[in-house]
Amino acid sequence: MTADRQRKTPRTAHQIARPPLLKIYGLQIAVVLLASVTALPLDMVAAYSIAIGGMISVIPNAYFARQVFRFTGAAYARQVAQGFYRGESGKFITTLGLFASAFVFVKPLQVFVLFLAYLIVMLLNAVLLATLKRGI
Amino acid sequence: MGLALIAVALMIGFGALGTAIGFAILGGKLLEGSARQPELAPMLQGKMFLIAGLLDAVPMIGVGIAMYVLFVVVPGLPA
Repeated sequence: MTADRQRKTPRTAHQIARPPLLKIYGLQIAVVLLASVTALPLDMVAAYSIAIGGMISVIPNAYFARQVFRFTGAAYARQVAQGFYRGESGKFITTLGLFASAFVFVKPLQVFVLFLAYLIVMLLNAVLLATLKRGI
Repeated sequence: MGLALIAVALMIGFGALGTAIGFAILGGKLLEGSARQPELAPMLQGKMFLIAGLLDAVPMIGVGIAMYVLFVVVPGLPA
């Protein structure tokens, strides 16, 4: 009943705009942890390489999303654009730092698995954003 | 070793440059679109967020590879 009523009510641009960020990043972390726990009995190094690679992707993306959606609306267009720039530079530096820390401090490390996990979580981010945003 | 360091500099530098150009165009279009149709500004913001994620995917992988070369490959090379 309420779902029908909600569907009939036209959504404003503001309601369509913001993707469910908590759900998207929560799902990504859940997938990373699940993959890591699954790999744990097979290979300990691969398991933590998956976890590290996934988190290197999730943490900077979450920071970027936080900066981007601090302001919404045409009245704040300038702040939104500034948030994009700030978020992107922060994301770049965070990714750089996290990769460097992983390669310096974590030994042994399966580099191929780390990059694979990083790539998969990055693709998952784009897919979740596209699908969940459409499904709101 | 010197060539490896130049490769790292190029990977990070050009990655940052490409992202900067892409974001500058995206930001400009967002401001332009918001000024033209203010009621669509939040929707444009959401779409821009989606495109931004795709835009910086490749430079971020480049940054990862650069860090790998810098901290794993270069220390193993003979000086």
